[in-house]
Amino acid sequence: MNHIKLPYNRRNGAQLGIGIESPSLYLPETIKPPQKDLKSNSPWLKSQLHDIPATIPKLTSSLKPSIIELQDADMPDQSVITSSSRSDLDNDSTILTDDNHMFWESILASRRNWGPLSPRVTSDIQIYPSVISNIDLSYQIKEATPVSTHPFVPRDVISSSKRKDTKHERNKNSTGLLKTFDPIVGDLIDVGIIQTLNDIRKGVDGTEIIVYVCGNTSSTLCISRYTDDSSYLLPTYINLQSPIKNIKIGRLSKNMLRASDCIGILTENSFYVLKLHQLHDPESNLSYILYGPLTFNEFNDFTFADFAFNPWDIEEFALVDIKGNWIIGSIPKLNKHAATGKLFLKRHFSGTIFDIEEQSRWKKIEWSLSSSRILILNRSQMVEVDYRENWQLQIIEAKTWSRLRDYKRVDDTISVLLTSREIIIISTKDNDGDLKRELSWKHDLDPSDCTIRMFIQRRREPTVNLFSMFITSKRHNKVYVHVFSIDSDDKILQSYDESKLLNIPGLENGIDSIAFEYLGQDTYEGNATEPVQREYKMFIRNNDDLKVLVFLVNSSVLPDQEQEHISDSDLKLAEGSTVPDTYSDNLLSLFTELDNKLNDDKVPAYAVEEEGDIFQEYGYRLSDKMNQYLENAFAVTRESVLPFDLCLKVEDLTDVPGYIHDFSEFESLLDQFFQYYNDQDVTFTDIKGIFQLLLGENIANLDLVYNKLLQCWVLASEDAKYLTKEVLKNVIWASLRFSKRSNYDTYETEIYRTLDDSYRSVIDSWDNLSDLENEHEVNSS
Amino acid sequence: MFELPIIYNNKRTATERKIRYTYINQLSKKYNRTQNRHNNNNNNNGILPTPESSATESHDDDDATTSDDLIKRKRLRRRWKSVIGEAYSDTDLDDDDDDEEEEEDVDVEDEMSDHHESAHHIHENEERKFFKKYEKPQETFEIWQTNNLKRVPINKSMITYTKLKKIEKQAKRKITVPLLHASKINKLCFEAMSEGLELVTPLVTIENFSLQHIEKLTTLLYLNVSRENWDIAYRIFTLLIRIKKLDIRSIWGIGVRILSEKSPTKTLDFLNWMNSVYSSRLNFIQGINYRMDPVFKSGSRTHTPKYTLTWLWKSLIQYSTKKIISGNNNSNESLEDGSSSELDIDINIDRNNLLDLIEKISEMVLIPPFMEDSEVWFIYSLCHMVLADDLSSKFNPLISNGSRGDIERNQVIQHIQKTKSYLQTSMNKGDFEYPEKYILKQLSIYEQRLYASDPTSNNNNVTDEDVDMQ
Amino acid sequence: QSSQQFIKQKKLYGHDANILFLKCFQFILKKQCIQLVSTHGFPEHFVKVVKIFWMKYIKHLDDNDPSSSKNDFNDIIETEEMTDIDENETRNNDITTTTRRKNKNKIGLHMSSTIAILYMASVHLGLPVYTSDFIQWICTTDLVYFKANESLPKAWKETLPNHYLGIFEGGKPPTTLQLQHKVISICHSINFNADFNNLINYEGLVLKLTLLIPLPPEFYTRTLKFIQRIEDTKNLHLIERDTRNFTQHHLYPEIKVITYFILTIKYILLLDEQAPRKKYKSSWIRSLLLQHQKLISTLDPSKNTVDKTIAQTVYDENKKDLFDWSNQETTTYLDWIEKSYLSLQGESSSEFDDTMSVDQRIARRKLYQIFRLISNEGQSKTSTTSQQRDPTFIEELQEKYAQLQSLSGNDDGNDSLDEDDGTDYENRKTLIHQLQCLIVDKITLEFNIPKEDMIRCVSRTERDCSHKIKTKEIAHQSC
Ligand SMILES: [Mg+2]
Repeated sequence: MNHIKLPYNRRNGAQLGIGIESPSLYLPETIKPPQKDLKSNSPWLKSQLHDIPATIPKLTSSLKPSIIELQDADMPDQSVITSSSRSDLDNDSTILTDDNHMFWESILASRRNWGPLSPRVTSDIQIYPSVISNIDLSYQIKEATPVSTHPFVPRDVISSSKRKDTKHERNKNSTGLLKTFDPIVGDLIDVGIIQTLNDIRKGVDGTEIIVYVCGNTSSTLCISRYTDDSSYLLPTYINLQSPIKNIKIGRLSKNMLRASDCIGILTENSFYVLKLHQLHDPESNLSYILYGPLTFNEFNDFTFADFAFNPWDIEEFALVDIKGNWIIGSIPKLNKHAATGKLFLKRHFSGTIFDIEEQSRWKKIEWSLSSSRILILNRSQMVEVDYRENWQLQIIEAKTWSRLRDYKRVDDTISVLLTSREIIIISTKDNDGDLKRELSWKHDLDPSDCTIRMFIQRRREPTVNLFSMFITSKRHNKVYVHVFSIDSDDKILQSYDESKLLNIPGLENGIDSIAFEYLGQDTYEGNATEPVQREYKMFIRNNDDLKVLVFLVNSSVLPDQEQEHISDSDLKLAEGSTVPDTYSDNLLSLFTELDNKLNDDKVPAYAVEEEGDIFQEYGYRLSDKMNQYLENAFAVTRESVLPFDLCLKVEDLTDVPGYIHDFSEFESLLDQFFQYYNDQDVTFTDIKGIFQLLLGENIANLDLVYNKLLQCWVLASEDAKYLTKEVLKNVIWASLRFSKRSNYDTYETEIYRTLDDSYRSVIDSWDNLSDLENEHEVNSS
Repeated sequence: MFELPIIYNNKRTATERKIRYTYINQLSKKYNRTQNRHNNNNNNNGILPTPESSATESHDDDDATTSDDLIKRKRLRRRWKSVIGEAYSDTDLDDDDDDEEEEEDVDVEDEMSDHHESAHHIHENEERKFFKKYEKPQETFEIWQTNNLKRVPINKSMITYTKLKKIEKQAKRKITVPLLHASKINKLCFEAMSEGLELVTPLVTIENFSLQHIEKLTTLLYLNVSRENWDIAYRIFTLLIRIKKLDIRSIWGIGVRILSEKSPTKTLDFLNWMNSVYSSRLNFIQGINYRMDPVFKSGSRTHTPKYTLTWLWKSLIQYSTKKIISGNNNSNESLEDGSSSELDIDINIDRNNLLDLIEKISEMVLIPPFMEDSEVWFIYSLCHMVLADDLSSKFNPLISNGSRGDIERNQVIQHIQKTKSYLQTSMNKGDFEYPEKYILKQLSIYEQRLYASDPTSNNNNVTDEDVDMQ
Repeated sequence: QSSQQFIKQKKLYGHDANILFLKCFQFILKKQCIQLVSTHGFPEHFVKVVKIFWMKYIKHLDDNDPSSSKNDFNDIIETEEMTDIDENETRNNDITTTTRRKNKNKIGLHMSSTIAILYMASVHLGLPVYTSDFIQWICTTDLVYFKANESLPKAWKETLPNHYLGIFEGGKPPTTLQLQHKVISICHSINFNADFNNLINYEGLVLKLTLLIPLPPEFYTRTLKFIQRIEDTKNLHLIERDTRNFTQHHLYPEIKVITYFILTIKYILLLDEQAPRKKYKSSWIRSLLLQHQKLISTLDPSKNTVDKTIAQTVYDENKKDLFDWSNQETTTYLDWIEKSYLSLQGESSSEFDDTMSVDQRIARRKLYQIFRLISNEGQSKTSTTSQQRDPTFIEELQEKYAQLQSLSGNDDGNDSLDEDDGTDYENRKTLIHQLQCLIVDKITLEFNIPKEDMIRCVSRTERDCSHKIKTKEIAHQSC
């Protein structure tokens, strides 16, 4: 079926998004290429597939991490660290600054199985910063005994007693200052294959290694072999004395039939290449030559922004600075016993894509489809350059609807561009040596999010190659995953119709980078019929600290969180310290006094039998007082409306009974009283209304209220009955008020009288509300 | 984390843009001045601004002035004044006499719009000044150029550190005044921007009550689509579209996706609705600062909307996917292997609807943008191809004798002819590729069926083909 | 086309616009009153009281209006615009940031002013409602507030200037501090304390707080005792201040009561620590924490709780990640969106915009037919089949108390086996610390108070109390 291909718009390619169709091909029933949608019985070959095949590990939408190496964040035994370049770590062993409290929190969040934490500050306490390096250096053989002589105490607990009103910086929504980032910071972790000259000579395959940045100042490079059984052999540390901004393991074209032996490192001010000689012997350290530093002022006075290795020429690399000036360089051959070397710049192969309108430092450089063609990107353009044929061509201009966000070269035939709107697959084959916009997927992510980056995992399946795009952001801990497939003939490129969203727990402050376990995806040793690994590891680097989490992504359905046995360890420590731990002796003694008093008080003021009389007597007094008020205070002329007379507490009229045994008796007393004065233009607070407001329910009578509350408290307190009555009594007396209705009218008229005409017209419309509303409803219907 | 299907704006972003574009415009003014001096000396070709972009710009301006009458231009100007900075939301309503809603939109929204008229104008001018330089593409978000002829020699004139600093210093002087009135956040924002840094914190934190719920619903929508919780996704969609000011054009695709899971029969209704409600055939005017991209969201005289294309494709695919007419539902599984040929008799394509679709497309291709759209012509031809396949496979030369056979045969031939002819039209537009060999081979198979003596050999033919291909 | 130009010209300006704005504001205010009376059991004469306060405010405007006649004084009256929320650089001042301009003639009204007036009326009548109630009601749309412009009469909407219309959008939910701030400034404007009852019903507030956590009743009674002891209860009244930069949040009476409540708990637990026989067992504290963190099976929520959850999704800063919402939670939320939020979208049951043409209406209708709302069918089905009535607030509360009891193991008999016998002292200290955090969390969430501010208020009050006791001590000893 070589002649079957999807129909195709030459300029735009297939433009896909959720629910959007693109050119398809009619394939009658009898022809069934494997790429056809398995789900439906459709005779159509389309650019989008519905179901991710069952053979492919399904990404569960909520990923449960298997934090493989972080299980015991034990202190690394110093002896394990064999490299001489430990100085970075050691030098940084100063007392933690306040900024680090985020780190402590994340530690706490990530490891709930810590024992109870001590809030008490012992004298021998030392906040030990190496816990951080411990996280970085997680790829150790776990053999050493933990150096936990220092009790681990979360910083917040310690500082709680000292801290004053320090501002909570973690309040995302609060006015907080803007958080910015340097867009030239690229991958700080990479996994890939290294094949040294030695290996080639011996006919040995490449070795999978993992490279990552560690150290408090991010200036130490850590290189370690990586093996399937997740035992990471002796790591080597190289301190570059300057914060590392980007690391990349060289990747060669499949035509080269070998893997690279270089690792490129970009620091704040220099570029280095690490050429490896030896890493097979598990007993010894790896040997290498470190080329560099090539400082940026050796080129054009602007910081380097990105670099790339020529996939067809193991000795060539390209550099671009933050203003878009680019240059080709080379790694000279050196005697293998040399410890360091110097990188060489080919000044005749240089140029610029400088754009005065482009402010962002973000630049990207990558080889295009042949040995002398490179692509240079800034946020708004992509330019292809052939430095040997001396031409350049602006392939993309993104000044209007979108911005360029990331670019990754996948292999010799496919590259992927991430814009603020789409994931675009650019193909480099079959097109007379031109780049071609082959297929795009509209991702619908927030176009204003500058922090999105893309990580690609390539997998070989029996009939197809799969490309999973993982898009991360520094704004949140979600990963957007979209899968593309290409058939084994590299002919039919299709997109799956669904994107998945991964939720990475514990990384609330965003994700910096992702790296994937090597899955034999590089074709130089590839074998399509090889059994496919159904499980792979994903390394995720936190945005804020240097923590690397390892996740196991697999096809098995993860069990839902079951009702597990609850222990203290499940309790998260409440965030920060919110209540000062100090106390006042004065207050303490006051409470002691109150406590004693309260215990004396827990006796009703009088016996049940007396209650009838007490109520009756109270009723008399109440009526008496009320009558007095009605005669005096309420016999109003305008002037005599006194403050507070508008609404008075019933409690204030006369002494109230000190206790209530029988609420229904009490209620009927009040009812009678209210009833009587209601007729005399006095209005009282509705007791039921009070409890409706407090308890969200209209309860028929006080007795019922009492019973309901009692039911809440009967188990919670020994003195529940007494206390419930006290509570009710208090609330009732506090809320019971009365007013004389006509007083309000009088008051109102008085204010109205003093108003200016135009303001009177406002008040006049108060009562017309219903008219307006009616008119309004008529209008709209 | 997702784009909100609503256009909102606030003072902070408006100020931020004003500052940004003022600064950038200043920078490029200063830079171009030094470049020109340089160029005059050297007398060579400057790279910036790109020649093609300025060419298209002037062309479009001409177009607008000649083709549009005075009133229209006046109206446009008025629109620019009131709408720029806002979504130029309903291009299509322009055609009708009613754009009240839109005007209201601009006025009523509080934090979604900017009340400060004067500031608004400056900002608008700076922003427009910037965007006037660039062509606004309709088909893609970016302008893509792979034409070898546009290759130019490598630009070697690297900017030096001192020169750049000088330009930046001059430009910064020019924006001290707008910065003075900006909020602290915006000042910080400018500082970061001019240092080449980018923001992690979103410039707009959504705290507004209504927007917060819209944001929640949007996230929940994508989340549930991704989890294939179609019931919930459907419900969210129904609720979202009932929110005032929500722009369905940014989420129509999700609607289609959800419907095709929840009630497939309504999918075409919805796309048809989109097509009829948002069917603009106006010119896309380069001089306007549209806040909303047209790529997936609207159409114009030169751009077929994506929902129209999706509608056509979906219709064609739906009508040509054979459905079981009789027989039990259990036969579904045996159908999948495609082995049982008896079942073919029981399934059918939706011929009537296909004919309707052909009718519809035949009208569409008479007018722009469809008449110039190779993809529409390709769909058109595939409609005929499907019919040719269907009719020819139903054609039995042994039964269909005489004039009836001639008529039926003729029908098939006609469809084949039309398929070829429209394919050619599509091809002639110059931007479309399809596997020509494969299609022609298919067509010849259909033709063969008409003359084959034995229907079973016909079947064999096809299976042979199948084997060949694998 | 011409009609729209007509509309443009119809917009009022100057004094007329101000008067219309006041009418609109009043319209919303009365609407709110009616809602409170009809759905929340407020007394009838509540409306009257609100009207009086409103009139007093109008009078205040009138008195400060320099032009006796309604002549041309464009833009003299500045309104507080809180339209651009993002511009507010500091949280607490944001309602008043724009009031900076020294101008006597300010209408000074924002949507939060409606709540302030309603709150003042409630205080005057002694109703046990607090800012948290109002915040919740507006966030669940039980009280018209957000997008209030949608419910204004059409004729007014057309002629009211846009910046005034913007005010009726409502912006973001106010915090308790913002509302209290608004209250003191309105109190000042209308000379509230002179004529009206200004003491807050703190007894009700303490009950609310006790049930919120939920705590045993002795915390209630002891908080009251403490308040009565430390504070002349006549001091728990609304403050009148003109100060724009009033930042002594701990003086807001409601905040005062809350801090007293928090302090009471703190000292009760502290005393309990020193007691030989612990009354509040570690297991009890632990179960409170568990209940709060939802680590135990969650109870059927009452409508009250559901409303609260929805209200808090708007302003809770530590809100639950949408990715962790269960389908049930999503559905509950969608139910609310459908029932309440959509009704904000405009008049006549959210279906149509009054600015739509006939064609557009028909198109909308068609669209809505394609995407029908499905909830109603589903809803009625489930409610009839399962026969499960949502529990009431008190039923849920009873469940909560019962759950706490069962979790902490209600066997009073074996104190000897109790883990709290001092062996695990450190552990217990941590638990108590966590409990205090929990209480602050719950309260700040309920009242939408920035946590830092709450903590600041607590420590400030604690200091003040300590000082007071010191000075009072002599008096105490003498008697
Ligand atoms: Mg097109």
